[in-house]
Amino acid sequence: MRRRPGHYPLVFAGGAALLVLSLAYLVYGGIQEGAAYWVTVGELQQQRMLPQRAAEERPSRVRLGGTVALGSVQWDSSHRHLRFMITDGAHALPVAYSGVVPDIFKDGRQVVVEGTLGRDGTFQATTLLAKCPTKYSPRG
Amino acid sequence: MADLGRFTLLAALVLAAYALAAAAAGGRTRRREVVASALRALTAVAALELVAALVLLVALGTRNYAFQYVASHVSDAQPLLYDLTALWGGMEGSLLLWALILSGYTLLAVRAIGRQRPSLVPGVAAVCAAVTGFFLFMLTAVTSPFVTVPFPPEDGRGMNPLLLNPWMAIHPPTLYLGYVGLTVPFAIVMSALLAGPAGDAGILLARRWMMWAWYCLSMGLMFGAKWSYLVLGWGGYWAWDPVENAALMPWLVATAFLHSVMIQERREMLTRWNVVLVILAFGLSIFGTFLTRSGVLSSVHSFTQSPLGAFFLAFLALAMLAAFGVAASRWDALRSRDALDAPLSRESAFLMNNVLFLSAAFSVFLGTVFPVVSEVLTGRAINVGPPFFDHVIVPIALGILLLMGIGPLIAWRRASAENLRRSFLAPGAAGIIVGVILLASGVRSPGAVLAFTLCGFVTGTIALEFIRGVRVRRAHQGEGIGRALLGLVLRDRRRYGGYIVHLGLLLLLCGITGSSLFATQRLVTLSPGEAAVIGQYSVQFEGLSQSTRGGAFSIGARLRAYEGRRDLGSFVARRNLFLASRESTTDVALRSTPRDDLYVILVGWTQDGGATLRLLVNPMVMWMWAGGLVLTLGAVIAMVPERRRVPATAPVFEGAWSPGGP
Repeated sequence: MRRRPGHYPLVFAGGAALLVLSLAYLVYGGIQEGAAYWVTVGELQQQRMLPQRAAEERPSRVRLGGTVALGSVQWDSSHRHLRFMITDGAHALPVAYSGVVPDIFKDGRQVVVEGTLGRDGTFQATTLLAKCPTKYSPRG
Repeated sequence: MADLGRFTLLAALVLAAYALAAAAAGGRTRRREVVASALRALTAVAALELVAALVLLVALGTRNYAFQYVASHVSDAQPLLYDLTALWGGMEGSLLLWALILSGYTLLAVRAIGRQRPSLVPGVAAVCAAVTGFFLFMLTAVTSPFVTVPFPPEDGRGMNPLLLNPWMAIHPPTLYLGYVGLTVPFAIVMSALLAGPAGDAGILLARRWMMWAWYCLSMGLMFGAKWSYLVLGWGGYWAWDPVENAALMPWLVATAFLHSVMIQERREMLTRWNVVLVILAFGLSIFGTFLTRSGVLSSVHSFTQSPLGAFFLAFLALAMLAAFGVAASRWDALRSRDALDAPLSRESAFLMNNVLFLSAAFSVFLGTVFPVVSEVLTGRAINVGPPFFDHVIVPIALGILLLMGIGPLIAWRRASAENLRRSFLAPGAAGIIVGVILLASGVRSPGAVLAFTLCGFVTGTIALEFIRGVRVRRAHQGEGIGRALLGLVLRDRRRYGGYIVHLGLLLLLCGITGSSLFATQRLVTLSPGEAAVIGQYSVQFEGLSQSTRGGAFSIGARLRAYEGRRDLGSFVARRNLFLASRESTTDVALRSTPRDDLYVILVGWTQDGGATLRLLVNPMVMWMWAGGLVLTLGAVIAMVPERRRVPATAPVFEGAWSPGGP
């Protein structure tokens, strides 16, 4: 009954093909679910200037990187909702966010926000990540 | 003093280069005195690195701000202990620590291998010297920790207050012990392949080192999760952050190896596969350091600004090319001597386990580098966040969980229907009972029911293995239950240690399932005296208080928690504002029970003394930490060498591993 080494039954070939396909399917689904384009503030503003197109497309999730404009951080009285201006130096965009704010968030810091651009031109962020430019050495 | 540091590193680099040359030449010409000289050079390298590390420690401890490294990681207000842990708080220091750990491992490995298989010593010494040499090159030519400034500042900038935490103090060195530990198996395997027609390719010798590295990586990940949970104040412990993924990938590959190595021992199969896994694990450890240190993921552009990333990438590419080249040159000699007999067998269960672990590692890799890959391919960077990882990893993890229950019970070679029925009846029933109980008690989340059912099944499997073993011992030796259990575990430590590790991982997975599917949170603004209800808890806000401690101004919300009528005592959620650096940190108010954690963050406060609080109830988080302890117990049992060699159930190959002799 012993086969020569290296010769595997058809079952294994079929199994392998099935596995690769299901992994590809999973990865594809995951990308559909979690993908967000990186955009700059300038690009997003340009997109807003084209009202027809923006109205047709449903607002897509994007990831926006930039700096928190100095002096633009505003909290509501109960400290729940946060508004600030994000800037890439040339353009600026208002951002609204109400979630967990990282401790290292403050004006002048680099941040990454993920969310969608609202009709009123305010970026509605669902996640807020802050980067410490100088001292925060990544863990690990 | 900085000169001493610079000099020692330079001397160490020269000696490492010499050790590489001498070990390679001595190994090739079989001249023992040349190899011995290389080993002495490696000892000197270790001593020199130790001196360099001590110089840096003294500079950190005495707050010598003339050192740039000291000035940017130490400040007068920082506690002395954290001044010293700043050794691994920054890049230069952590590279030095990496080199030092590697040299320590090298000396240990050379000694151990000299006893077990002396023919591998020159190769191991050469590979370790090459890797050490790379890090010493970085430390002398690219990012020296001993850069000084002519006019030292009055005070240093100190570390980010987020890093001043006991868990963060031990997290990096633990992780490094694991990362660096992956170099030793790599060196052993490379040495065995270079030394001649490979036999087992040194894999079996590498196993114990891999186990140690795996354990350190596990603990490093655990400590990082604990830090994230306690310090970052967002209520979670894992965010699929690139630096987390960087440590998870080698862990996954090392886990795959620890399983497939058993097939090689028992059946002389999968040797090639194991060689590839060892090379991959090493490559991922370098890649992980590259990821965390080069900044490639924040942007492709910042990557080009620092030369560091380019050097790492070049070294990684060179190492992988060389390693796969060596493996390819011995590919035929590594052929399996046996073949899989049947799709339903323990071998194929293990093979499947390996495929799933590698799929998981690949998916994590893909998700981590996706922004870079997509930017290179399409010109637009696309980020895939946590939803991607959850979507891909959860099904794979469930598959692995299922195999964790099947693997130990299914017969080697070919499972018969009788074997399947006898083995799986009880554990399968255990799983189904858990599932039914959950459904009956109103749990409707399919993910949770599936995960806990599988956990029940695996627990049944492990219990059955222990019961069978104990029963046999009691029948043969008439021992009591406790004694039989102890004897069983001590006699076959790897096997039963492994099962205990599985139990630890089950606790961990239960914790992850419970806390990610059933966590609840609320954001409330309360005036003093008001209370908010979350889950079965009610949290009363008693008022704000202020204090100054350790250079920080801190605002605390005094809270009292109740469960029904029962008073659970008072606790404080704080926010600390560091005046000097304008940083802030969060102290979470936390009350842990095995059932759930009540976790309160002070988000902000109002003019009239009210507070905005984020209340979370995270179920079963404590299970994860308990899982870490159980995993440690199991890993220790599995790693402690057996005093008396159990008669090898494994066949012995020619020229392979004969304990106590060459």
